[in-house]
Amino acid sequence: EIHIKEPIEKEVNPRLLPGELLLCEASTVYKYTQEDGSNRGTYGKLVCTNFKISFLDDDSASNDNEPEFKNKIVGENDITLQCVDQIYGVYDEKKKLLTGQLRKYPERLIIYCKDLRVFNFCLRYTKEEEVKRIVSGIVHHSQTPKLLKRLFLFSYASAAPNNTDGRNQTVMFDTLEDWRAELERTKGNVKYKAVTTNEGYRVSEKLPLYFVVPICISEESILKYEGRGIPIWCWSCHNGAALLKMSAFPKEQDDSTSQMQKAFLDGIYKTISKPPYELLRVDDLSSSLPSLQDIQTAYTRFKQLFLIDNSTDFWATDVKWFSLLESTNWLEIIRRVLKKAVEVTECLERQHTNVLLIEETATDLCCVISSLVQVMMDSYSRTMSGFQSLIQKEWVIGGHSFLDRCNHLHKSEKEEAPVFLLLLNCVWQLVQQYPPAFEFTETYLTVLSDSLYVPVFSTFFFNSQHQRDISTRGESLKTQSGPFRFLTVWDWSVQFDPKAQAFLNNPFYAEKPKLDKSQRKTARFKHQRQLSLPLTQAKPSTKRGFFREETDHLIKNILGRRIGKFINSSDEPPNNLREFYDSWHSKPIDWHGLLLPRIDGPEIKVWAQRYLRWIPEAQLHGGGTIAITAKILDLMEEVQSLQVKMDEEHSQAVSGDVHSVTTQRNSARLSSLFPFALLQRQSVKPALPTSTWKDLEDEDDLVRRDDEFLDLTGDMS
Amino acid sequence: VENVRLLDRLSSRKAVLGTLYLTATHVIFVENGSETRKETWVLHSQISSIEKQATTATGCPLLIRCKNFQVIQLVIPQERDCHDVYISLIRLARPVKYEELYCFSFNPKLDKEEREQGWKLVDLNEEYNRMGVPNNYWQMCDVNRDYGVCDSYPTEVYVPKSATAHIIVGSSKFRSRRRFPALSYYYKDNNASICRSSQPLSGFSARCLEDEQMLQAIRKANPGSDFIYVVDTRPKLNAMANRAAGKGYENEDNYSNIKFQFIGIENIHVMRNSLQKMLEVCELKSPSMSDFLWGLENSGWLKHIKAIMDAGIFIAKAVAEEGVSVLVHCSDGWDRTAQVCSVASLLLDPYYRTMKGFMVLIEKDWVSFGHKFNHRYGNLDGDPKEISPVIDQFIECVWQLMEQFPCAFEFNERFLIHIQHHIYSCQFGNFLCNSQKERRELKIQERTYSLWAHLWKNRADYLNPLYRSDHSQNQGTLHPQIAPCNFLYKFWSGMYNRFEKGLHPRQSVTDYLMAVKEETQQLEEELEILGERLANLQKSQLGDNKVQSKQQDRSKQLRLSTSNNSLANTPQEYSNDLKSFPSRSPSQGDEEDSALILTQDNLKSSDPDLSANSDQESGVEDLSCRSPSGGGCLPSEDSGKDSDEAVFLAG
Repeated sequence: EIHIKEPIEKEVNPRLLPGELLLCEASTVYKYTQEDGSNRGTYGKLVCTNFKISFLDDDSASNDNEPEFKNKIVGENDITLQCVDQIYGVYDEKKKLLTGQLRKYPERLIIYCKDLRVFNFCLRYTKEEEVKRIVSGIVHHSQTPKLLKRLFLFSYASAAPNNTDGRNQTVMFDTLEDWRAELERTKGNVKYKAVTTNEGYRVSEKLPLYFVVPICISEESILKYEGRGIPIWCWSCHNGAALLKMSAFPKEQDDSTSQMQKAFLDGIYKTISKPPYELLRVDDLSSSLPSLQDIQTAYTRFKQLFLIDNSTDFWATDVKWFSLLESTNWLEIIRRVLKKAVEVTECLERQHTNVLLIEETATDLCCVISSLVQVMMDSYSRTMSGFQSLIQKEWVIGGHSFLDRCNHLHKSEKEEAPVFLLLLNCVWQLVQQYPPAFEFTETYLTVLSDSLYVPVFSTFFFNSQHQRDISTRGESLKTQSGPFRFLTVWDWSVQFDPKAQAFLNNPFYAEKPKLDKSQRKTARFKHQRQLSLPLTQAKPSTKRGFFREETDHLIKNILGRRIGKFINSSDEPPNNLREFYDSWHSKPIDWHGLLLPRIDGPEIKVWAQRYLRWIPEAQLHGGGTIAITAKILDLMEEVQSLQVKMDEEHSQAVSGDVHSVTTQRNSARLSSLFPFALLQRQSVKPALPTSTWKDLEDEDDLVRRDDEFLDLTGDMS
Repeated sequence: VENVRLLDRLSSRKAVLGTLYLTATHVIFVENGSETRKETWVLHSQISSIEKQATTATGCPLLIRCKNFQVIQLVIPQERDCHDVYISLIRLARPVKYEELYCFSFNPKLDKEEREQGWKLVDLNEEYNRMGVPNNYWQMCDVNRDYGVCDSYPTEVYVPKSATAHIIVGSSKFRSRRRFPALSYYYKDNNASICRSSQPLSGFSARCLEDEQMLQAIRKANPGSDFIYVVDTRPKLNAMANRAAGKGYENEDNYSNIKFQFIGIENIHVMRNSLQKMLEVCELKSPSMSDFLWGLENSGWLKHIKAIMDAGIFIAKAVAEEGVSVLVHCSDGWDRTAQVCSVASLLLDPYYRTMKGFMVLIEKDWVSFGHKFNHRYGNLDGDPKEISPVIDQFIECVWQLMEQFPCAFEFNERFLIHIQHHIYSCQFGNFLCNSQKERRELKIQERTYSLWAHLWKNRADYLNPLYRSDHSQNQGTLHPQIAPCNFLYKFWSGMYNRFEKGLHPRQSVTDYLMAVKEETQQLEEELEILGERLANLQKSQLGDNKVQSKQQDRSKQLRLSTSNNSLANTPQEYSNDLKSFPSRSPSQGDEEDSALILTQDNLKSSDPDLSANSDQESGVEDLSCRSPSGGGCLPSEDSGKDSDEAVFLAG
């Protein structure tokens, strides 16, 4: 039974952003701590604004241990309206999905979030009218269709004009210059041109204002079918081969129309298959990859594994973990997408063939594959600004329908599909396989995925550049405040202070070396190796290079085998892809060159940080990868302080004790879910979790623990 | 045999032509490639099965599966040759006498004294003293000095002081194979202990006063607690079945103040089949997600690993948090009991998470307490039903813990893999036979070498660069989730797929740090040389040194950072170096070993302590301080000069 504790009467007010309005509130709401069935929790106020649902802990004022990693906009007990996935009401122990109008009001409210948090609120102690108001308010504002104009984005932008300007290195691709610069950077400007045909959206409202096509494509052909059937350039590879995408013609009933379309396409193919263009390989993604429907179904099942509101159920399913995981099919989809990207890469890299990706609108799977290919082939896309520019290019300006795919406005569930999340999941696979190749961390990807649901930034809240433009301009005609200036998500300082931003940067990142320097170094390096030989006492000196020779042999062998393949390849059909994949994997990695993911079953993993971060059962105190990162950061700090000290010594020429300087963060205190384990307060959780092993634990023990807990809260208040 | 083709499992087109040699100890495959002549060596003792497949047009295929999870596919052109090879390998892979094993012919060119030193590296007496026994409650007993009471126990065992010889002998008669309760680990902070034994011969109703007194004595040895846990690591069903055979488990009514607990770890046969199933998954060519996940779940392997961990965690918690002593047994008390006791000790005592401590732990809970290495790992030809990956599972548990707590262990994955390799290789005498008694009779210590000495000599290779002994986490009990859920457990491809190069993250972060460290060490060596040379030069010049010497002091500090910065700013420069670094996926079992010896000998000639502190810092700095600014200047001659001193400082 619940410990009834007199709630402390204290006015707690929600922190509101500019333009944020309080819509309804309810007090004496009891929020369960999710970790076990012990009904533990805290009293507080539940509020709903036009931006978020927020639980205000009655005790929160006294909670002064600020977490190290904190989002400035969305706090640990805040749920943006767009982040709400599903809301369930509990009536007499029965769970019911809440949508639209309600006749009866539940005694408990369970909110599942798109970032996989689960909130459990008990309304039994709340006044009836307040329950009515808050429940219907929350359901109405988060679950019913909405007009674009009602997005918080607009009220925020008009209340807090954005004055941060231009400091960001991300290329936005909203000007012709950006496209030209990208062409130049990838040396695609000989065969491809940026066109202005779509100015005023003459061609299509779905296409961006500026885009790039092969030089030989005429303006008329672009205009002919609203840009359908036109190969649009994504990226050029160092050898000149390019990645193109094209939106396909819808299936026509009318024979003559489809004849004409076919003739048109043939013409296009002809022009772009002639020199100077490389051979063309066409890949229709709608037939070679799972459909958006499949992706949506898989993800819906997958996320269910992590939305845990009841630890008993959780332990029951734990036994079947791997088969449950398999039955969702989500990891297999990731694997297939990665495999497709490897295929495309092989065409571009090894066969010097242009690849044309076809999809109905060319704004879903085309974006996934082309982004992945660029991440794998172009080391610029593995830097933070490069990756962000890539997202701008392929997704934001490229015309991915974020509004529809995320179902931000609750218009139609049929359009919903986690396409962008799929990309992030695939990139994560690469990040965890090759940490030194990326400037950003998995935390960055997690935070980016969370930002999908924060309508303070315009980045993920439009379907196309056209929609963004008219929303910005259209509104401004009526108001006098001038065009809206939206924030972009790429300005991370809006969400995180510099200390937290440090977690987005990968300390292992191998930055590109300066060429001249590295040459000097290698020269020196060899010299040094020879020099250290005499130190190897007694033993014959040839052994130092043993492994090096070994690997040299290995490489030679591989080369030898490749030639050998042509000789005795008769017994098997040539499998270029596998060959390409294997030979890449048997060479040393160049962190700034091509990067191929390992795509065999065992190598595809669950993105633990994103999916497990709120599950206390998955928490390891002082463990997990965060322990490594913390350690590295410690060492970096140490090195920095040593350097400072060194500089001091330099000026004073006094020697001191080098080893004494350290201000260590205690990584043993961090849990593996860091930086996200915010639901757990250290004060609430005993240092050593004593749960399960139920047969050993008697009631006394539970009572004792509860006492402990009450004492602690007493101290705090 | 000439013109043999070695197939690459991942892509069968990559076959290489070469010559196959069979020697007294190894199978050797030498590639024909004109200059490369890459060699693949496989120890006979590593071979677990040989399969001759149907002859095809290209020749007769031969499939060799190894105990270290390597799979070799050969195609021999002549059927007759193939048969010969097959027959000889079957004979060679299944020696009947200990003397045939490799360790009796293996000679690492050490003299007698060095060999003795090697065997002395791990000293269990010292270990018990470290734990804090003998003391007021525990003493060494000599009832087993001639293996008179129990032939699978060591001569020296610790028992409660109040347990008289009469009680011990009486208790031993009531225990399977006379394995009476003896001390495995003593937790000096609160006097709680972990004891181990075999199952009682209780049947349905039998009692034994001495055995009851024995357990009483164990409880009394921990005055802070009024009961002990008796943990039977078997599933309840198995234990009940044993009752029918006159064995079984303790009846709580007969023993005063015990709390009885079953922990369902399956028996060796289930484990063997489980591993077999998992290996089938490993052998799949490019498995899909569902192949892998289904296969993994159906094998049940991780479930078994979890069961062992759960048991270890339970015991560690009982000892450290509740302060209650625990008696652990299974059936004979040499498989599951060893696993569970050693996992619990590892969790409780940070010492066992160091390299030396881990060796001691294996020596204590496995070697000395009569884990049947010979039977379990099939060193000599024997009953295939006795073979089971018992210690493999323990090693995997350690690995899972390492994955969960990457900074808590002094050693790295490679250390575990090499130990696993040598448990099967029979290259060293440590794991021969089934008991201490047999080993003494064979005079193992006089005729073979110790693995521990070999590993210890190469310890720099096995260091976890993230480990720091002064870290708070490394000073106490390790706390994994009390009931860890399945998604914390991972498939260990570094172990089971270690010979599939294509599957590996070839350069883990840890490898990086190791390479950086190695680099630093080399730089220091160079500095030393330069320093000597400079000293010589200066001797001849005898000039104005006074101004310089002031600067030298400063460069003591400068040295660590500048030298590294200037020479290798970015990890990719190490990737060259990594090639020369022993890779985590050695292609051949034995070659790997000899190679290790080679690298070690010249790598680690300098003071090992260096690597313990200074390198770590400077090593990471290379990863972090990417700014080229710091790296402008090369180490000056000055800094070279006092490297001796600096090294001393750092050490």
